[in-house]
Amino acid sequence: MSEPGEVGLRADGLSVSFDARRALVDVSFEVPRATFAGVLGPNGAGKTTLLRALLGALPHAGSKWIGGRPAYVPQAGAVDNAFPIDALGVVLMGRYPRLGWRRRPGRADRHRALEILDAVGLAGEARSPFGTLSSGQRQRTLVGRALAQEGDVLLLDEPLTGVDTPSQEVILGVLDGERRRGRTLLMTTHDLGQAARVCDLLLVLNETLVAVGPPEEVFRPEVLGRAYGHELLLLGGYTALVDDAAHHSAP
Amino acid sequence: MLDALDTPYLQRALLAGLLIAVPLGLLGCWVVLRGLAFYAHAVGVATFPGTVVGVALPVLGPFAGALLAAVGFSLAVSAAERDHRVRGGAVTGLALAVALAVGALLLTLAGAGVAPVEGVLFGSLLAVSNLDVLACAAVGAIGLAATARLLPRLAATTFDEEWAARTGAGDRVAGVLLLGLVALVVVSALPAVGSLLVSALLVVPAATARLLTERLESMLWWAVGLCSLEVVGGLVAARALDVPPGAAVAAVAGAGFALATAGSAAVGFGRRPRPA
Amino acid sequence: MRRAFAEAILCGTASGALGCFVLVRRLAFLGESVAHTVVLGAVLALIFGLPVGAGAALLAVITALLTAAIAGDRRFSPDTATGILLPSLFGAGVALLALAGGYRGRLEDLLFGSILGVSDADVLLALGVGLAVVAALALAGKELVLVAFDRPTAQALGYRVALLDALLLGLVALTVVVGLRAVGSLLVAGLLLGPPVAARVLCRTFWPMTATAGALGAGSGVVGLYVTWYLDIGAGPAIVLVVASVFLLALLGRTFAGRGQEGGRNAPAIR
Repeated sequence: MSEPGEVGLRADGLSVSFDARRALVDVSFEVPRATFAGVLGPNGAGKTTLLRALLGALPHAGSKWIGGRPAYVPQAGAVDNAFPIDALGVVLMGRYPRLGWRRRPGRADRHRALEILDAVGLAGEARSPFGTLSSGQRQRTLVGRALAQEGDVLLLDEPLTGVDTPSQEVILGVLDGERRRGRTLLMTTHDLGQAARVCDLLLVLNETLVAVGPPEEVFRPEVLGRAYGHELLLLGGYTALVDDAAHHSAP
Repeated sequence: MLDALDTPYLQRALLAGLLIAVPLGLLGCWVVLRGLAFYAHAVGVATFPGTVVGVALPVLGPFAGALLAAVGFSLAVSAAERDHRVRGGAVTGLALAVALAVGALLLTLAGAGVAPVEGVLFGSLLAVSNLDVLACAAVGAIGLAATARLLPRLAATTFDEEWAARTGAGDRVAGVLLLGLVALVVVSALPAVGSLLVSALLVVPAATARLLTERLESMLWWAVGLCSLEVVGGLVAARALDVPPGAAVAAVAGAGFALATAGSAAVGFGRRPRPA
Repeated sequence: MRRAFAEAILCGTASGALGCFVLVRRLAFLGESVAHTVVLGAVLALIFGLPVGAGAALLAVITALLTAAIAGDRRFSPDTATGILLPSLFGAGVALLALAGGYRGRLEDLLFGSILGVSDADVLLALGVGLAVVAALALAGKELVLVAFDRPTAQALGYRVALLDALLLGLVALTVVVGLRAVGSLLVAGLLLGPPVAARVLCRTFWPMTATAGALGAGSGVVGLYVTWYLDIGAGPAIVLVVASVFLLALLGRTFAGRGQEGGRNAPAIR
């Protein structure tokens, strides 16, 4: 076990059940501070459940610990795209949790929100209605909203699914900047190759935690085979994943 | 027609209407953005039997009677809607019909002299008392203050409920407070516009405002402005043409929406968003 | 009085059976809206000396079309679209009636019905609508159920979903027009939604629920008329209060019989 000051995120025997169905069984891990961790696993492995349990949104057994305030990017699709708000307004929402019931966002908040919009490459779209942005721009805005929370731990649920490649690169660049600033990141993803490229630590999940470690340790056929089973094809040194990435965009 | 403005009762009705138009427009925006139009209509109609009882029992009075009926209705329907088998507004629809049936029966029982049914259902310019004007002013102030305070929370939850719930940017309390405020504002607007058509002033100006802008703040101000205009236009037309004020106000509001639709189509306000 | 009983039975059966589709399609607010906006059609028909039923039916169709048009705008939900049209068109109808004169008596008839004054022609219209509902449910019932339960699948299987929607809305419009005469604009929703929610509590599957709702609608109409006769109260309110009592009795009976905690979470199962 590391020193408390060096841990960003910890789960200890975390289990979640929906009615009789087990969704997450006895998951224990530790993510050091200033680490970009990726959560991998097939559909229904409990990736979203893990994030929501860490945020305290689900009744669970075991314990979890978050080193500081969390910020959150939920899976795409929950947002009301027709809501009358511009990109700046969405990012500004990230300041609301700390404002509480009494205060409204002020000049400093607006200034910070504009900086963030610039960082995600949307300085020119600050006053554009959210609904008229492309899906990649919308996702960059939602990541911006999480950045505006200035949390110590950033939890992201499939932030790159269904997003164009330039937007993916912008988002990954910004997330890397957050890691350098000492923030801890936990991101669920479908893209094994991308996860191997950008993450310092990988968690492979399939109801239980199959493996934890740096990419070079986790990317071994026997490890991935245990998590993905028949969905994984091993082709002479290459690993291919037969996955149904479309299920997230289905209604 | 303008001579009519000299009559004290019309001045009173106009003053009450202008005061209550402020919270009607503001809360109406949230009714439109959160899909609460059926609730707004239902809570208005549900006040009908309460108003009748309140008129018949001076101890209670129509305001308290209507408010009790509105609150009781909200609680009963929200309990019934939790039953997944009959979710989707069917119980609300049945409860509305029951409220109207009970109100009509009570009116017959109480005798015709107590209150004319049209007055309770469609409002009456003569029914607005000085006390009603005061109530509208008080509820207007409450509505203005509450909307300003609730704005960030309501915006965060309406835009993205999951994120708002997880991060503490919004919660259920704001939504419940909104429902209570809607009930309070509806009850205050009853003397002038009646129970059947009061939802017009919550839904239609706000929906018209939504056509004119993509920004929340300007939508709120547009809704207040339109609601005030439509209340004044409706009440003056009701006096001039001798039609029930609730009906006149609703018809004027509907005409406003039709005009805005035609106008925005012509000017190109209604630009389609770029395809995602 | 015989005519009133016939009207009550026909209207109750058609509303009850058709209301089951309104329930599972979650169209309650639209049904409520159409019940109000037909007043504008009835008033226009009165002014121009046309058959009231025709004017009301026309407005019912226009309401459904306008609702679909407004809800097609991404900025408005079906709830908002309905919430715009209901008061606007209904208010216009009431205002026109007041302008045209003869306001009081006519308005009360339109709002609360006048089943004791129905003519032979009214009963014939109710019979025609009742037969149309039964025929449509016999011919296209399973397709309507499929669309209600799983719209994408119905589309994928090649059913003309829009046509089936139009059929359902057309039947609702006709039933509302008949109900307008019987229990009035304000109470039609009770007749359309009450028997189905009571039947939903009692039945596990869709077709028994439809049959039960039709029977409950007819029975409530008859009992309501007796109540009217003995207590000397308005027929429309009496019928609606009987419908509501049936719902409460069904709920209580189900709870005390210990079978209230049914397993299914969604629309009723389909047989």
